[in-house]
Amino acid sequence: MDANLASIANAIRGKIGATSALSFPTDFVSALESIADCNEGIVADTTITVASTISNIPTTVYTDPILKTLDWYLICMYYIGSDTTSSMTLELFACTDISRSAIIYRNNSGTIKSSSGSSGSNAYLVVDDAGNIVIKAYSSTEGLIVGPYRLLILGGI
Amino acid sequence: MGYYKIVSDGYLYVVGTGNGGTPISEDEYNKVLQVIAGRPTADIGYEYWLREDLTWELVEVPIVDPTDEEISGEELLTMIKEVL
Repeated sequence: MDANLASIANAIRGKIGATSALSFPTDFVSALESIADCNEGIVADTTITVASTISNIPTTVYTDPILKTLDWYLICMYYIGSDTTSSMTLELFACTDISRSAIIYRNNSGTIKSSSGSSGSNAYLVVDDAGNIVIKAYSSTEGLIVGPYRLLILGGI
Repeated sequence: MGYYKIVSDGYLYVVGTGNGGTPISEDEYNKVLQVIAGRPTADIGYEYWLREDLTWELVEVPIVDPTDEEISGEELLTMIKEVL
């Protein structure tokens, strides 16, 4: 596991501060998928679409009890839709085996903008004690979260 | 491929592929996507929530104060090194 975490850390190291939301997930996913020689792997690779404009209230987007059984995991979620006026949401965080509530990284590198492009809301992900992945979004005026998103989870024990 | 939805308090918040919530059929999944694509536009300060029966409800945007703090990239690397 240490070697894999080191690989992930190196992948993240080169991407911190990246301004391009498009290159980050692509490269990050590539880094994740290149990790081999271990029992860890892709826990989930899903497409999700958020139905409502859910600003300012936590919204569960994925639930899987397996997250409670993992010693560590990394999550990447990013916009894969075709609406070019929408910003890409990018979230990534890791959880170590010390405590599953110990989020060691959370990146909120982008905003979620409405299709009009006139406003947006900040958002990030958390995992609650039940293993639910929850979006928390905030906006002073409106919160329009467009989709679909790709949600990729890598984890292991 | 499986499909799922997440419903809470009478509202349908998310549909997705895989096993991330309550299983639904592909037909229901596609129907929800179609409804989402037709979501009405709300005035500033309001938004539409999707009821479980796939009708829209106009609600006022709740106001909250985000207090969670983010950490820097350097802090992240320090923390990663500590667990390696």
